[in-house]
Amino acid sequence: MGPDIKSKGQFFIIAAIIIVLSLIIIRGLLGIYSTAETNENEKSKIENMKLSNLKGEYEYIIGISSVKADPNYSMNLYLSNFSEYVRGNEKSKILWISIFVNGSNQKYYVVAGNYLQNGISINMTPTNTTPSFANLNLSDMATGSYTFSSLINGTVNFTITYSFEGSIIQDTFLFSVSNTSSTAGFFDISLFNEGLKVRTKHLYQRMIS
Amino acid sequence: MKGYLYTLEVLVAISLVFGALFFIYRSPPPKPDFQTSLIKQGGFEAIRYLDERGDLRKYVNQSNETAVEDALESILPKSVGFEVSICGLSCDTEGIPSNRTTIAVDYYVSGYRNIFDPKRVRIYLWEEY
Repeated sequence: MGPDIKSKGQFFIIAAIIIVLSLIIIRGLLGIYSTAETNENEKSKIENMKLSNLKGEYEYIIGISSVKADPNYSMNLYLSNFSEYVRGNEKSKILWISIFVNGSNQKYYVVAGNYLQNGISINMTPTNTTPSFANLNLSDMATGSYTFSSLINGTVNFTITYSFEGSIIQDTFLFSVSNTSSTAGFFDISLFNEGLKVRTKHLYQRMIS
Repeated sequence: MKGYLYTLEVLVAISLVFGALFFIYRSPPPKPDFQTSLIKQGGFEAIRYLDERGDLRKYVNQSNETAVEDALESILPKSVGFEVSICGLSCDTEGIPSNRTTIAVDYYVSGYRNIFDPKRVRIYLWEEY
């Protein structure tokens, strides 16, 4: 028996050991990736449900405000109050812009509420409006207001720009100005949970009959 | 003799592999526990259903926890125990078993009809054995 024969025989055993080790590793990996992915999926589903709940409640506030004697005052009081309540209970960052359109004089009153956990400086550039530019410096959990006059009965494109966490954020939303008063709100809501973030941005307008 | 040795070693190698296959895969991989997530999701969907049905806001406005619990009784499965707390600044934990893993689900309600009255409805959920 020469050395060649012994080496060839051992290769079968070595190959078998490698296969067995591979089977052990595969066994360990089975389901890990799909488990991790499904876990993330479940968590994000629940966070999205919470986000949808909050979005609905902010809209409800716009609705409640529209039936009050002073819709502008009520809207801002309620939005501030509710945002503080949410911030107190959820890891969240919220920015809201409320708009009260006065149908009798085509003026609209804008209030911005900063609940982003940091101060921001917001530039506002609406179309078909005077003035065409305004700026508000807001610390966290503070509000600021500005009054605009619409030059038309129609749609206003309202753009907000601000710097936040190293990025320039720009959002544009549309609302209508007419002979009917209305309340509207733009909401940017983010929720955080164990490294997961969900976010929604939306506008809601309600006419006051 | 050479062939006999080759054959023997191949058989040993094959036995090793099949033996390993048998021992490693005789039981399935452990099932991950999603029960907590599913219970939480179920609780949230139940309370959202109450809201969509138009009942939740009325009960919350009245701070009527019993009415919310009675409504949820027919929605949540019997295998899940629960307790409802309508919270202002804080939530009470009365009626929650101390010997169970309890999951909390929060649902916000900003008001009812033309009344602004922000509250949180918290459902505590646990598995009944």
